[in-house]
Amino acid sequence: MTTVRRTGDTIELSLSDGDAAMLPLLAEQVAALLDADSTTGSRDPLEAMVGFADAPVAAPDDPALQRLLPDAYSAGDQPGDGDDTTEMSEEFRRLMDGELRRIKAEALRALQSDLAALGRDAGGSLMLRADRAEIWLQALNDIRLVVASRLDVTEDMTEVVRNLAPDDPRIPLFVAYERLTWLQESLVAAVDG
Amino acid sequence: MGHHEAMAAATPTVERNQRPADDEAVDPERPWVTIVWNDPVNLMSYVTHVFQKLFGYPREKATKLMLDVHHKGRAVVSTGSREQMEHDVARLHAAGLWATLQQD
Repeated sequence: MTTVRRTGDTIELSLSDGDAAMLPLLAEQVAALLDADSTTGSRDPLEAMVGFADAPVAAPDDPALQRLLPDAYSAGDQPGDGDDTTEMSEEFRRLMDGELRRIKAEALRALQSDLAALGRDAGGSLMLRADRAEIWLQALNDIRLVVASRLDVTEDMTEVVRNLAPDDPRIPLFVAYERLTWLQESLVAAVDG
Repeated sequence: MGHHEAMAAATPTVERNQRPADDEAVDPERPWVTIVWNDPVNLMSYVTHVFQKLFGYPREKATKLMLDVHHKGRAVVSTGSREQMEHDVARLHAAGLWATLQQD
């Protein structure tokens, strides 16, 4: 059973075998998603040096990536209202898209490297300092956003889960989502406590 | 090992002087705001935590803003210049919150 416990400045995260096996796989998938569609993948060396693209960058097509890297500008009472803000959002992406992807990938890599120290698919205890736990929270949140997007999670998720057929192929991903939610909730409580 | 590296990386910075003079329609007098939008995934506890960490808000204020996001669908979490709001939006995106900036 996975447990999260705070002792002084350190958080002890004891992961079950199942959670320790699941987390690196999901982290890897989210990292691959951020990388595969990257605006920085095909750019020239000069762009790589200055750190941003030389032309406005359009929003990603993948709904999960849209949620990880949403439009920065809005107008009005709904986030999608700002048709006339598209250009400003694309200009923001020109400057920030590469760096935000890098920050997110780095957090996922930190989580993967901590898990790798436990050994292959084996549970065990990790001692996380507060700043490291912060990075875990970031990574867990991004993983949850991607899984939720794939599952089309809405506010009344309990209802959706209750109505799932026993042979629904999405059940493992729903279970993973529940585990991730519990883990993030426990980690926030430990960090804030 | 990068506790330091990773922490530094977690604070994106907008390259201000690279911004071209655009958007003539923008009224320089009106302040800009950063808005956080409700979504069904982010945990209430995590959103409160992020508001405290990024903006240094006391727990009560962070909780109130989180509840506004949750119940009203959105909340203004910071106000200032366009550049400052771009910086706040970038930091909120890094943390996984759904944030935008707009002119008030």
